[in-house]
Amino acid sequence: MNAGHLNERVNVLRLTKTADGYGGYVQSYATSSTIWAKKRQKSGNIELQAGAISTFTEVEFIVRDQTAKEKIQDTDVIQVVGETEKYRINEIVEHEYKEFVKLRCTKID
Amino acid sequence: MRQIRVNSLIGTELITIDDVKLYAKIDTSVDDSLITNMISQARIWCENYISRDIISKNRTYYMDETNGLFDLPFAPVASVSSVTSEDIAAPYTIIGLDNETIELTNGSAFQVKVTYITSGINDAMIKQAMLQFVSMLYDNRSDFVEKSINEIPTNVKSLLNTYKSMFI
Repeated sequence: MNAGHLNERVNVLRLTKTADGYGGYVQSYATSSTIWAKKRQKSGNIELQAGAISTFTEVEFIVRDQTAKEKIQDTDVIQVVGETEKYRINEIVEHEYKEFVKLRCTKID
Repeated sequence: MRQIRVNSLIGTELITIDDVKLYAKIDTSVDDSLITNMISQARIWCENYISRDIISKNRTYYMDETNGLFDLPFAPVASVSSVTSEDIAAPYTIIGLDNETIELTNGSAFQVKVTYITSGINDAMIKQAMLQFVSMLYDNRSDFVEKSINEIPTNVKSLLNTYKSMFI
C-alpha cells in the first residue's frame, strides 16, 4: 500500500444539531474534515424488497490509521468530493498493511 | 590518505513537511517531527549516493599529497575559503564551471587542507527523489514486510543517477 493509492478526496460528514427557533432542533450533516482515501466497491446487490427493487451498495474506504483515529468517529458518514452519494460506516478494521485501516460502508439514500 | 569533513550546514532542506504531506497524502500533524527527521535522513542518503551536496555545507578536505591538480568532492563549489600545505597558505587557481578543480601554483604539495563551501543542488529531480524516498520511509517503518525485504526504491536511484559522481 503506498501513498499513490490514496487517490480519492473524501469528506467526513458529522451530524450536527442547530436550533430551529421553535424550541426544537434541526439535524443536518456538516463536513467535519476532508481526507485522502482509496475507494473500493465490494458489492452492489440488487434485491426485491417490499415489491420494489433496491440496490445495496457496499464500499470500502482505505485511509491512514492515524487519520482515522484523529478525524473519524463511528457515527460519521463518508462522501466522495464531487459526488452526492453518502456512505454510512459499518465497520472500521485493520488493513493488511500496517498504518492503514478499512472503513466498510453502506450507501445510504 | 584523503579525508573529508563537514564543518557546518549552511543551507536548508530542499523539501518541507508540507511538501511531504501533500505528496504522501498525510492528513494529520501527529507525525510532523517524524517526517522532519525522515527528510534529513533521505537527504543524507541521496547526498551519499550521488557524492554531491544537496544543501550547502562548509567542508574541509585533506590530502596527504597531491600532484597539484585535484577536484574538490561534493561539488558544485560556491567558494574556497583557504588552501594550505603543511599549514602554510598555498597559492592556487580555481578551474571549471562548478569551481571544483583546484590547481596549486607551486605544483605538488603535501598535507593539503582545503576549506570550502559547497553550493548545494536545488533541482526538481532531486526534490522528486527525496519526496519518493521520504514517502517510502514513512510507509515502511521496518526492513521486512512479511517475507520480502524492503530496499531503496529503484525509482529513487534512477532519478539520482544523472547527478551521481564518485568520491572514493
